Amino acid sequence: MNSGDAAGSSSGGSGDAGAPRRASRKPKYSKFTQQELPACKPILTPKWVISVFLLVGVIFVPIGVASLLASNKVVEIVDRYDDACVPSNVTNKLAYIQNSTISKTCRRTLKVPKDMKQPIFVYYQLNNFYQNHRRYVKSRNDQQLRDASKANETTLCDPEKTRDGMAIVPCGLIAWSTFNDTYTFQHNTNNLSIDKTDISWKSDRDHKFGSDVFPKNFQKGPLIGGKTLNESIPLSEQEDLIVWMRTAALPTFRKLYGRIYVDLKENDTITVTLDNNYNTYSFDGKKSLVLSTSTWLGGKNDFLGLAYLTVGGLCFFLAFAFTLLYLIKPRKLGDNNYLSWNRNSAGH
Amino acid sequence: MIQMADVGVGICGQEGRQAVMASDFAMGQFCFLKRLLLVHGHWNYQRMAYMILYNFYRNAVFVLMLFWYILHTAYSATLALTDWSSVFYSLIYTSVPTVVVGILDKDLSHNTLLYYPRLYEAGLRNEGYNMTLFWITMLDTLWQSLVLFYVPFFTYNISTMDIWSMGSLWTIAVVILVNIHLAMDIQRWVLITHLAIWGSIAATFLCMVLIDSIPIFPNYG
Repeated sequence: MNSGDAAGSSSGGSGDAGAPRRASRKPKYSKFTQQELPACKPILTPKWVISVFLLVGVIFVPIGVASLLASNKVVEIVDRYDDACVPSNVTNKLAYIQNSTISKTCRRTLKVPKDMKQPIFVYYQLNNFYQNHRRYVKSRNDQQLRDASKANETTLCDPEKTRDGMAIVPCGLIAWSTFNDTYTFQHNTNNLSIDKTDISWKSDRDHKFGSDVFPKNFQKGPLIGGKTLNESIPLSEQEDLIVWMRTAALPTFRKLYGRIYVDLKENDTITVTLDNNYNTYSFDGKKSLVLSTSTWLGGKNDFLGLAYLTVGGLCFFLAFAFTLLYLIKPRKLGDNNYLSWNRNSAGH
Repeated sequence: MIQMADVGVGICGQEGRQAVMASDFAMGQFCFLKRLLLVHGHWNYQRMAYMILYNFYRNAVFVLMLFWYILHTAYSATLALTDWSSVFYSLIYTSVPTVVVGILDKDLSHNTLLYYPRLYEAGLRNEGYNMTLFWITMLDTLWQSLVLFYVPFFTYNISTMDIWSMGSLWTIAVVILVNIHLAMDIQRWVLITHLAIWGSIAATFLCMVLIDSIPIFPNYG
């Protein structure tokens, strides 16, 4: 009986083992696939909203005040001369400026409004000059500017590519239209020297304009667009060209002409002798000469300070408004009456 | 019947898999229907609705910002951004946070959704995506693109700023703005979400530095 029982149980046992075990189709558990990763769930309570607005206000208002103070410290002299430097008896300004036989020298007198500490930056400012026009921005060949062996690369430089079958170096409209007004300064009858070195980006001088590339065949055509270049100076030392070829982003822009390392006192007189060569008359452009000091923020611009003050003030106002709302009409967090099925008692 | 319905659910089981082949969702047992509808259906609707609105916003803010610049280049369609930056915008700078939030974000836990089945009605009433929300998003996009363009414009208006530096400023501004907009709308912050958002901003800085170091591009230097 024991053996019978044993046989029975063993057969039962083997019967159990014989039926196929259902393999579990359940996917392996992981926190990522079950979307149970530890999480933080921030909720916009009135305390948080008011605190964040106050914090933003407290940070922005001092920055705005500091920026405005810095901008007010900058002393700037802006003198527009393109209309004043054309003699009054000239009716056709375009013909006047294109006539290379007439002398275009002009004298301007500037008065220093406040004490200016050196270094004083001298800029020329152009208005309504679209250096950011698509065809203009493309009209250059960087390989040719960098490498003397690639002098014949003139793709994209139309229409200033070749002259008499030979490639123009540097080719393109940007180089062709380089600004060519010159300025000399006198301070209270003493000559003021202007430092024209290091006015371009150092990376441009080292890597973009080759020290073995010389201008060739440049401004030899019937239409002269701007400055003619000295063919014995390599491109990496032609700083006016390098400054001009860094195309400006907006239609009103300034470009660095040089620096003055002399302090100027209030009510000093600066006499500028300038050559009014550059043609801005055919497109209603304006030319101005700018002398400016600079601070940690740069030149004279109130906008950033005003923008920070506006946003800071708005944040304070909103914090105040939300505090009032919270005190007058508070709403309990987790109030069940706002659930959709509790709100419309008439509907479902 | 499965094909005519809005959402067709098939059960795969003893009677074969024909229902599964015709359906949108397939599951093993009838009792799974409750979770499919109330939990995953709700999450799916909420994520999908937000992602559609966010994607409209993300792309429109970028394109509008480029458009406002054209008004100041004598209408000549100059791109202040480099070509590669505008390609990478959709690819690297802002795509990863979108995907991560679309997969992982949850507004309510599955326990809450199962306990209050009427929360499913939010989808039935089109509360996540409707005409009003769409036009509010578009107005918000217009406003944000104007701020994005004009704050750097007025800051650098009469200065020595060159075109490629302005482009870099606009690129980094739009990427930070779009990512912070997403960050303000995320309801559950998980480690992966943090990595995606702040990592994208860091990746943008890195890519911009790399693109500006390639000598053959015009923005070099």
